[in-house]
Amino acid sequence: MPGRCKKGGHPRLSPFRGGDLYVDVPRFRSRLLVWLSLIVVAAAAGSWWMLRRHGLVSDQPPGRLETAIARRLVVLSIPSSQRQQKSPLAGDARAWRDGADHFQEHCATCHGNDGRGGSAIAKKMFPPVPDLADPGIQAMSDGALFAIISNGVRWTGMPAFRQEHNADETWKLVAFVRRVPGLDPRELMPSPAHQADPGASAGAAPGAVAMDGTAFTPAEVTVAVGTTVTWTNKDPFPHNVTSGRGHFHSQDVPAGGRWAFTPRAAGRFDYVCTLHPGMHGTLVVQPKPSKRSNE
Amino acid sequence: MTITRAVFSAALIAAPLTAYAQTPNDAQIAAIVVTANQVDIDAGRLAETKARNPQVKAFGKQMVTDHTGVNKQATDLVTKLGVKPEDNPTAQSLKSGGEANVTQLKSLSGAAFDKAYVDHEVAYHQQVLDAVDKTLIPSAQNAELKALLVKVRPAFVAHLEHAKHVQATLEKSAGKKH
Repeated sequence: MPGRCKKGGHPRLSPFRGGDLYVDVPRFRSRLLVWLSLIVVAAAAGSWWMLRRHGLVSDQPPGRLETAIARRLVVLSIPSSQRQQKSPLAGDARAWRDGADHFQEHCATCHGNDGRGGSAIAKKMFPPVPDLADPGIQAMSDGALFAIISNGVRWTGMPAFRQEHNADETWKLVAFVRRVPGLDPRELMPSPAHQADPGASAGAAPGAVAMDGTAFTPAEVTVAVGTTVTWTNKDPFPHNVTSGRGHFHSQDVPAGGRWAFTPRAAGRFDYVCTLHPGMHGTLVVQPKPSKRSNE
Repeated sequence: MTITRAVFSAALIAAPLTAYAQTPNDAQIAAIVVTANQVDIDAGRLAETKARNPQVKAFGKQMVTDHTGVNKQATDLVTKLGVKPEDNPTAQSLKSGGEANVTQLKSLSGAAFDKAYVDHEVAYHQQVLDAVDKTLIPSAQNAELKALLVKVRPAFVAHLEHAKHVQATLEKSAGKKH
């Protein structure tokens, strides 16, 4: 420190604010300590007050400051080498199209089909699912978006997908995120390649099975991996859905109730209602040819 | 030849006539359906509390749930149609049979209760299915009432299968002990 007093001199004085004000160092330190303690206590009290007032409810949106701090922290948490990564698909005008198909199948549940966070659960999560067209998101580098999709974001609903995606798939998703601000909803109609693919078009139509007259109707249903199948109980008493090999098992579904299951593995699964012998069905899950070529 | 033909023709005419004489109307069918369900609910309630074997207990519980559900739907339909259930000999005999069964079951406990309850469930569901197939579905006039009977019939078949399965399990475990 410039101007620090020599040992054995007068009471220890220290230059402060350009040297025109001298402060007694031990006193300054103790005051600083008092102030810091007060700040900590006030922050704790404020947090406690907020906790008591709102509990840990998740459907109250965070303030602008909180959002800004959180976004900054997310970006800072990504090593700069990753942030500076360049997309190998930068020149590929069609990359976003493949990303869009993937996005609608796997990401739209939370992010909404168009990436604007308009899904049923987006606003009820904390932190809420962001609008990907938001300037704060678009300001992030391609590398940062890539890192977020790959590694997820702790303390948010964003999972890490590095186990499921290869780099190419993730870069295509980055391309889609870049497309979100200028996206025309009509562009989200299935691409011709997507329609020509029987597995994928089956995937577009979710599976629906009725439990009616103590029977599963249709008795056999075929879907693509990742497509949700819903069983609706139209009988006046409970049924359940139990696969022989233990791949899936609903609790008893009451009269008028429904149960949904999203298969993650391909195969042919026979299932029954354990309450009503003779009531059986088959779920055929087809692999996704379009995804396989990438993996 | 002529005699054979005459007898054959007589039988053709007589058969539907006898059936007609026993044909219940929709109001009577409603009473039969509600009573048949209630009888099984009452026995099931007893099994829920008295049965020793967990499978028997679970079966009794399911009978209460399933037949209560069917009865609710039947009652809703009958109310909607403005039909007032009409008492009749079939409903009465179902009711007295059910009461006799409950009285007998109350005097039993443990494995003897389980066996008597399940044996009766097998026989009872067989009897009710016969009535549904031979009398109730063919006689029902109202399309919605007929549809309801057709819709719930497979559940009674499943109950019969389920009861037979529990019966076989009980016999197996009884055989092991002796």
